[in-house]
Amino acid sequence: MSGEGVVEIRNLHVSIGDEAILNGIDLTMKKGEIHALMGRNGSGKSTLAKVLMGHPEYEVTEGSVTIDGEDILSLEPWERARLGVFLSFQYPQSVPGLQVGNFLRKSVAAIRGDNTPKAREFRKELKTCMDLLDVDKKFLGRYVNDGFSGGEKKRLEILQLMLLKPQLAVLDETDSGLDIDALRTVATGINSSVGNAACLIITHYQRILDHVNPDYVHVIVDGKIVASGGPELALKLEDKGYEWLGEERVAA
Amino acid sequence: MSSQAEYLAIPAPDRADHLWRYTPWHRIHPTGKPEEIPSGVSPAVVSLTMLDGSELPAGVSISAIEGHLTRKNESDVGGAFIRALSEESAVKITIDDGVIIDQPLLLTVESTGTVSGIQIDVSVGANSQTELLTLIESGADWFGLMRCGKIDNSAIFNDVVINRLGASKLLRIEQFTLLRDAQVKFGTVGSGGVQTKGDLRYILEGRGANLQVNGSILSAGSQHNDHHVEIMHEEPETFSRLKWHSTCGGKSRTIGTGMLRIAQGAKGSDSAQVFNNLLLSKDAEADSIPELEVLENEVVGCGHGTASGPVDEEQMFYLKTRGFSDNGARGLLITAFLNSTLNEMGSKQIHTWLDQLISGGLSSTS
Repeated sequence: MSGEGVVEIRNLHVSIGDEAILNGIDLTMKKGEIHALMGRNGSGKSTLAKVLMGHPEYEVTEGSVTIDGEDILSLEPWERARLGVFLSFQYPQSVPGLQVGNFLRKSVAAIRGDNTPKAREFRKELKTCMDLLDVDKKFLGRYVNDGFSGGEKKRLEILQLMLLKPQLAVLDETDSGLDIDALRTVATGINSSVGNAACLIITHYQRILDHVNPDYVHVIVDGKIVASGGPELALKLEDKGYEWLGEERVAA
Repeated sequence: MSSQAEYLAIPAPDRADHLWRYTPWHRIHPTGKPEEIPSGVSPAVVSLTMLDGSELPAGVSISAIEGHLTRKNESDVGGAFIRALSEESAVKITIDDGVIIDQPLLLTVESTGTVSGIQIDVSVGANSQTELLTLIESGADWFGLMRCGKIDNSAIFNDVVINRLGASKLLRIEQFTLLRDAQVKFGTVGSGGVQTKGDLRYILEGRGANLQVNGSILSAGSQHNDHHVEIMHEEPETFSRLKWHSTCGGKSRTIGTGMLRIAQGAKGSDSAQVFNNLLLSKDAEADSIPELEVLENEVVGCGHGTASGPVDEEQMFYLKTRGFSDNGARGLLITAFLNSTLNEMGSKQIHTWLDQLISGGLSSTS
């Protein structure tokens, strides 16, 4: 299935030290598709997100990840970012002293390179995105995630998603810590920006999937995808939890 | 007694003295021999304009004075030494009562010759609102700067001193007194000089005086930056905050010592000091010693803290995921670390100006 517009994860094994965390992940995502990845705490969801982005703490012991046939595992995190990989963090870092506006402008320039909009165009684009996310202009003068509420942090992550226009967007529990209104707003931002990207939404709950409709839902258990299906799978998980998956695996 | 005789009468301070523990007097002395007062001292060249280069407005002036500035410190060896050097190199900056100006004043101080020194008396009038940037530029091998001043009732005053010396040693001695309800921010930006010893003292002498002291120190190569900041609350309902950020690269050494004193009777005083150090190389060293002396029981707060550490790897990862290379992310974090004190120093005009200054100095930090 290698080719244009495809993100392929093949037999991905990942460890920290002697501990294996991912045990052979296989996943194919086409651009324009939304995939949801669900699983219990400790199942390997966030590890997969960080490995895709190149976190140095994790060691890939086997397998491959390609975008349009290009291996990304040998790339540095910033090279992946420039290639079009984006991670919305579950717990974004704060950077006191770095103003949001300055950060966004420099980040867009780093990632979009020659396609970086000129100052006036950038301001216009930024304003459109901020309006969509219901973000006040004062936000730009604050320090990145410093003293932000949980909802503000997630808004800033999605604002970056909208501005950076990735090929592969990995959203790690973007719904956690959001109230219903904020969830709806953030979902609007996600929907507006992932049309041309392969999007992997990592979540515990169905509720974000009411607003961002996934094409596929996958379940990860012990570092391996054990079930895949359509949106109905998320509803079944919401209804029955994860126990039944264990029973089916034993029965099989 | 002449200034020279006055200096020679003061015994060289012992290293047991907190102030001189990390930079002994002989190390910052221009000849290394405390009993000597160099001859052939050159005066500093000063120029005071508005930041955009325009002339001073009415109510702001600079004039030559006789150099006899003194501090409330009986054994002030640093102050006495600069007085002995610079009797004929002294100026007074006067901001009259009620003067309000909408852009900062820029005082450029250029040291000349081999050894140079100057005394600057700053008088800020009541109910005035002004900002003063002092830019110290290279020239002499050794430069002594002594500034003393009074910030009068209800004045709002932002003051930033920027050390842009080249391969020079700097001795900076300072004392400012804040009167009733004065709102003052003092900032220090250090990126130049091979060795700096600063002894900065602020006295909250009027009820309701409000003081913020911020430092952004960028050390690289083999620089040695030692700043001692002393804040004295002498009257009730006074407020102070000290926040000092230093980055240490190469084989540099940065020292920050603070002394916070709350006098008996200074009820309702609220004060805190914090020193943070960002270590950029294995060979760099940072020492921070905040100290408290509280003689009054009824205070709102009196805290101190210090933290030192390398660049945070998770912050680095976060920035790299946003397209910044290793060097780009690192530079951004260093700038951010310094900015968090720099941005507290004054108006937006000052931030913009300082931001450009700091960004230009980052290439030599590793």
